[in-house]
Amino acid sequence: MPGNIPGYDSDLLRGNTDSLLLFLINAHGQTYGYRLIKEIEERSGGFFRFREGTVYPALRKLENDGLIHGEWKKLPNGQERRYYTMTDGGRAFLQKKLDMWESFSSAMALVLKPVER
Amino acid sequence: MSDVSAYLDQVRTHLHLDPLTERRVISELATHFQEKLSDLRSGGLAEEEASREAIASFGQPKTIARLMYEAFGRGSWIDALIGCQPHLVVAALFATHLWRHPLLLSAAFLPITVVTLLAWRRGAANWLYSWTGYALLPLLIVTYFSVEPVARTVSFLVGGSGAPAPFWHLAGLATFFTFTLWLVVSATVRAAKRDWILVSLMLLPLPVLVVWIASVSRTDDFLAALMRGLEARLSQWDEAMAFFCATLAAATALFMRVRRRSLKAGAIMAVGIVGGALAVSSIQGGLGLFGLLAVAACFMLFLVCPFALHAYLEREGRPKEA
Repeated sequence: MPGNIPGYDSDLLRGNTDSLLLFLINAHGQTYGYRLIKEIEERSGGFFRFREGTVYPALRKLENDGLIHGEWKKLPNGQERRYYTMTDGGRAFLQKKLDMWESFSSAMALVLKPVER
Repeated sequence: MSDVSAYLDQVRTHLHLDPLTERRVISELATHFQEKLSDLRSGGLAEEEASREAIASFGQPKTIARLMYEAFGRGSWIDALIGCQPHLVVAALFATHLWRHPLLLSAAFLPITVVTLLAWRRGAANWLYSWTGYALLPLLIVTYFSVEPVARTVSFLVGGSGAPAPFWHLAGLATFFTFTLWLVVSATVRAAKRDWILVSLMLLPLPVLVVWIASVSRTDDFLAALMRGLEARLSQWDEAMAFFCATLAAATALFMRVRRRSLKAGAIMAVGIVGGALAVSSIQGGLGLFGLLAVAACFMLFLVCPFALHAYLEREGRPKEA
């Protein structure tokens, strides 16, 4: 659940959190929660800012749905970190979402272009 | 305790998940905080300021715990199937009238008890709580039927009438009652430390079964009738009981599958209160509207009691089950 950042409707980000997370997990092959949060913020130039704690339940739901796979790994300092990788189902789901988003944004751009009088 | 540890403790308090999952959730969040704090400190923030910033950007602990619960707390279809098994077994015993055969009854309850004991040892999955209620039932039944010698002795001591039970008999009963009480209380407290709705799930079938046992045992010459096998007088409530247990099975499956705690609580409360009152009305016959409402109110109190216990345990600050 993103915080109330002026500039966009937080529901819009909430509805697309899964796609953002899946895209980045797919791009990295293997990554973890904190890195995902940082990267979304950095890539969006600070525009998308999550309530960070909400990313972990979202990751768990993706895992429950079989879209990603989580695995604990021990770090050199003895700490454990949970790494996420894509599943085949996740890749197919992401592709569907990306296609849908592309069609949607193209259609929006077509409708929103200035009207000729 | 640092601010972040205190924050994680607050999240943990509201998680209501099984101990292993809780540990994993908190461990993942703790790793997140360590990295975040390290980044903030590298950015020039002082320790205290970094903690404040990290906590603020994470969100309200109660909200995070609720979202985590919704993400983790939904059982699989297998959990739902396992969770409703004891209800279905008991429903089948009633539907087929086979509950009157001691061997079959033992064959049904022995696996329930063994599975429950093994599951308690392995760590508590949610489905375990619906099994625990039935695992305790044989002890409660034996307790119920063992009260007579005690009552006889009390009557002798107070009124001087009748003959008291032998001392060894009373000592044996006292040991058994103490053991049963200890078992019921420790199972209840252990479940309540995690989540009061699990206690309600555990206790769900007991009030109606107790009413049923009391009614059946009032049947004239109950034991003789039981020994004779098929006795119509004992079977008159079987249909209602089978239906009630089947409804409990459906509610338990729903409990396992829904994500929200409010829906889980709603499912077991609705069936426990409404279904229970209707079952008792069917057993007792002609309760009338006020009687029905009174029974429903009693069941509601009974099922909400665990909430008070959970609140008390939290107030006392007892550590959560490891």
